[in-house]
Amino acid sequence: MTLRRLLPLCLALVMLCGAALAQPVGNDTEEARIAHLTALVDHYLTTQGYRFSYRENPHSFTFEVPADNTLPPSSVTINLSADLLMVSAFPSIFAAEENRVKMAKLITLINWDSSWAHLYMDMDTGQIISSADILTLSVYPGEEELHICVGMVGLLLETYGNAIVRVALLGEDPQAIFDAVPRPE
Amino acid sequence: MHLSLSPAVSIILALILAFTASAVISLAPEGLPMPEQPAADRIPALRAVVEQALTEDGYRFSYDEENNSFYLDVQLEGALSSAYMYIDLYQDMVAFYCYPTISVRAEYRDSMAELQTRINWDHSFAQLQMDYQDGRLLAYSRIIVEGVLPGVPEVGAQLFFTQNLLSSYGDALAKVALLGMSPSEALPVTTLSPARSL
Repeated sequence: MTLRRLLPLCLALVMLCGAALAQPVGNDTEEARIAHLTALVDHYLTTQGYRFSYRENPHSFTFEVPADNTLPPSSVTINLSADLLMVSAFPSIFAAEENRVKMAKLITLINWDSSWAHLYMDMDTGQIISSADILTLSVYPGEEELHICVGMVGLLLETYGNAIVRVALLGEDPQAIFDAVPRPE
Repeated sequence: MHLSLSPAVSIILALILAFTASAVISLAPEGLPMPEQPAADRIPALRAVVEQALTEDGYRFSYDEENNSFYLDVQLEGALSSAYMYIDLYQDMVAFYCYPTISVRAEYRDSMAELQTRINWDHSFAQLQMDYQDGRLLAYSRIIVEGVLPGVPEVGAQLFFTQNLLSSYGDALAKVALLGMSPSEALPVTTLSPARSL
């Protein structure tokens, strides 16, 4: 076999493997899917050094992350179901009732600029969260996908934490506050 | 048969085989991080998956090779009868942008922000968004592509979620965007559970 023939063969094999990275859900039962996702999250959080708790009903992991700004620490939950993995960070502040319309504007401005994770607010209670999710209909996510979700949910609060506090609690102008936020590259 | 290789070619060959082996090994373990891989062009694979999903769902679409972007017109139910959609392919993401053909008048954008915040609280997978500068509305979703390529069902579901958001809330969006109705008046009473509460 000549080298000219061998190289394309190797390259084709590499491309084939690269395109087949997804691990299919296949005919796994609901219990098997949840067990797979549970093992994935458990391994990820352990290797990342998080101290976490797990409960089965509903299937969820919880851990706390400190804030790098004026936000109080956030409780992060990773909820699992057979076809969904959702990461949500709950900073322990609530928007004052009189500031919720302003917060809605700030959230809208932020979300327009955000691709990976998004901010949400319960208009009835003022609870604010940062959240990202992954669908697991036909392939299981890898730890890279989970890492992006956890990282981006945190980055959103890190980037806009001070802005959230100033609008949610102090009622400052959301457009001016948003414009003044230094964005990550 | 005797195969004689120069040292440089041998090194290249060894690297290719080593990477091939690492890729094969990465298929085996469950829940373990995949090894670092050289930046490979994922666009062709992503394009094939999205094309299959669109074809299976009966969409007519075009593809912009230069920008790695699909374009399609979609029909909606409810007050927003149609929208146009871009599906942009990136090395690390597939992004779905569904734009209705209405935009929000400047004086109604604060009300629209409140309406969208109320709606988004109850939804996963896709979000309503608005460009405050020009009042453009958008239903957005994305699939993260880091170590795992998505399947056709994931793409089909995101197509559905973005369009369904505009179909389900089209009446409310139009009432606020065009008529300036208050969000609480425009939004129908729902029985959605507070899925995001801690």
